[in-house]
Amino acid sequence: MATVARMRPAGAEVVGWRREQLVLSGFPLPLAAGIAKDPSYDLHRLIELVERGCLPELALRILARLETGEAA
Amino acid sequence: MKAFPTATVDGRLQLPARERPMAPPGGLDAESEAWLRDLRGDGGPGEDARARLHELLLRAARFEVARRRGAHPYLGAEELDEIANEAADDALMSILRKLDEFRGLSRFTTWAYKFALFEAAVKVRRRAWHGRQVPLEPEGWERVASTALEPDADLEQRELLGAIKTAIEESLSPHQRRVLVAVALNGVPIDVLAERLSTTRGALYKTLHDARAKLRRELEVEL
Repeated sequence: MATVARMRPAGAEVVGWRREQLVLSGFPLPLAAGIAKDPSYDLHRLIELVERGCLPELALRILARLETGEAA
Repeated sequence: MKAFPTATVDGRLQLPARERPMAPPGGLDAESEAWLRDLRGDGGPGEDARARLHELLLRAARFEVARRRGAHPYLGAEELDEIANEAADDALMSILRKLDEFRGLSRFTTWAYKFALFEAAVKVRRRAWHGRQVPLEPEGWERVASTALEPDADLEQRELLGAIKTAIEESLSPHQRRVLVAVALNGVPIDVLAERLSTTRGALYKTLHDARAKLRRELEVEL
């Protein structure tokens, strides 16, 4: 039987769309481009943090830390 | 004191424990009991039961996919079969996680079919949006307006839509606005948007809830 857990790589249009959402929300392009390709980042939470005044780089660290359990 | 239903993470209402439906007085029917016992089993019998359940789920998922095929003629037979298989896989995993929640209010297989039907419906909808543009800006307020109104009602409607549009533009954050417009105005399914953003439906529902509350407050002042 096939396994269930899947995380498909996003297609080029989807990556482009995700990058655009991040740039519109104030993420610098190089950072946005990297995040857009990685489906493990919750864009909604990242953008919400930035809209509340958090710097994009800090938002990225906050969420990465929560998800991987790494110490800062 | 009366106990009220509480919302689960995905937004469904859940009754307090003492009000939840219990197993029927006569207990579970023999077939359902056998399914539960076999599915909980280890080794060969457990594997066999899970394989049998997967077959049933696949049949249910194929049925649901075929039923929805008419609305998505561009999905080929191979793609539809892939969707049905994925739906059966995911339904089986959900069922195995929720075996303890089965209360015997219907036959076990009836309860299980619903998981396959739900998964198949969600997956067809997602696949239909695969590769499609997800519009996040209003594509046309004229679509929202009714065109068959008397002049005074038409004026009233235009004023109301104008007030809503202004409130959306001025009182929501850009991201709140994009989520609200995508889901409420442009008809993007919430699970499709959640998948694109790698987030949960619950998080988007929360944003929608907050956006609507803001709009309601704004419009109460305006109108």
